[in-house]
Amino acid sequence: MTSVPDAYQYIYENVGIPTNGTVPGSYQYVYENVGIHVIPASLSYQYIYENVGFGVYLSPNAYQYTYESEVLDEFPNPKIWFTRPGAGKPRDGIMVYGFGWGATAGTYDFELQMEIEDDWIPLSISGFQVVAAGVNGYDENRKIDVGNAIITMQHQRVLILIPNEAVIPGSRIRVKTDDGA
Amino acid sequence: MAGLYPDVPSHRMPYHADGSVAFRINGDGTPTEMSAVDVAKMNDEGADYAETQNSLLGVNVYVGVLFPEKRNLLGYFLCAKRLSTSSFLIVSAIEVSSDSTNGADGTWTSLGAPESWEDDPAGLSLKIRENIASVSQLGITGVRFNFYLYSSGTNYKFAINAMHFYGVIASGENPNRLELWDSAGTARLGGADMDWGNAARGSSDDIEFTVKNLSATQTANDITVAIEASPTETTPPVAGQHLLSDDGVNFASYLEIGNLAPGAVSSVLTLRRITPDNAVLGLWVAKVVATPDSMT
Repeated sequence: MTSVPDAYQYIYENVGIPTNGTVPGSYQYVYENVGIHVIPASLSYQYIYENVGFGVYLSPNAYQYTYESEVLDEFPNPKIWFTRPGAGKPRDGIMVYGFGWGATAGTYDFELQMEIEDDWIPLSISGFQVVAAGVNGYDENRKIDVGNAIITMQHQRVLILIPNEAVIPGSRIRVKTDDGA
Repeated sequence: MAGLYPDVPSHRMPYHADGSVAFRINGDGTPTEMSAVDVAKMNDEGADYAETQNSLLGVNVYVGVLFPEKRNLLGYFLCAKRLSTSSFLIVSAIEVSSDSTNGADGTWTSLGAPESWEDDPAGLSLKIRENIASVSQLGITGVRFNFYLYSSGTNYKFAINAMHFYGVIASGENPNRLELWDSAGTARLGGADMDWGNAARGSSDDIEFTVKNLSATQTANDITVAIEASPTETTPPVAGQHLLSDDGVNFASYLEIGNLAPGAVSSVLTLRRITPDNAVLGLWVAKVVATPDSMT
């Protein structure tokens, strides 16, 4: 390293933007808020509030559910629905209608009995029939019309003869079957 | 207990026909009235179902019923099933309300998770008799189930196979109407009083009853008593295996019993079941309905 005789001095300078000089004019800022022009109306407003719920109506109808706990193949309770004609003399034939008697008279040992002097007397029967459902068997025209002997649904019928022992004013009859147990 | 299955706990509500409205609330919270077809499917006994709309996963979906008057809810049965094997469905709560107008508004009180519900419609005719849940909510006008569906698939729907409610109209509500009463005309039939129990093929039986006009001021005019089939039917039809009579001798599919003055009770009527040899085995449901042409 060698020393030199030169002297250094740094020069600092702030170079500003030249102005145009002063002017004689005067400035005043104007401030403005431009609003929407509104026109006062003579109308009157009222809001309507509404909660649209479901329409429901009170029903005057009565309902009752029917249940079949189970339809089974088991021993049916026999029923007599009606006889036709409803009355007769000894030895007259009477047709008895009902259901639950079995496929044949022997299926459940079908027996019709008449109450005579406190005893239930077996009646002789003939023409045991299982009558199949008709055309309107289970539709809206189904019926049991005793006067015209019309039964649209499956049923059974049998002919009996009024026994000579029958007495005035008449006797009750009943059906008896046996489940074979 | 009637036959092999327990008695129903109360009167089954025919909410598909008694003025009630069924609703569905999807994930966006908007209630929608369900169609009559869907309502019938929910209140029948078959495995057919009402399908919910696509909804967002993991949000609450509600399906329920608004009644036209205050009712005492005493039992319910629910069968709901996911429609995609990649999803699963839970029923997080049964809720009741006494002021809601559309199923979404008003105050709903949660009764907690249902006591029971079914997620498989197989064997539904047995389940609707065996698995009825008990509840006691008096004076309510609405009931709904809160569903929650998760899925890894794209099918965000689920099915309501059966939604049954049991109970009665609250005392003093809807006073101008009919009821079916016992043959003595002294009390309303119980919910299970037309349960035939086990019905043997090739058999017949009768139940006697009356019709009561509950109104203290109005006459029930031109009353028809008929047997309505369940929407789920069989052959021969269950309703068709029943007849009605007002003399115990002649029977028909329906009766016209005329007018009933305020408070009056009809003559004794007879419901006859004739179960043919070819009746389909199993459990079946029908219903008797008494309808006035008008109340004046």
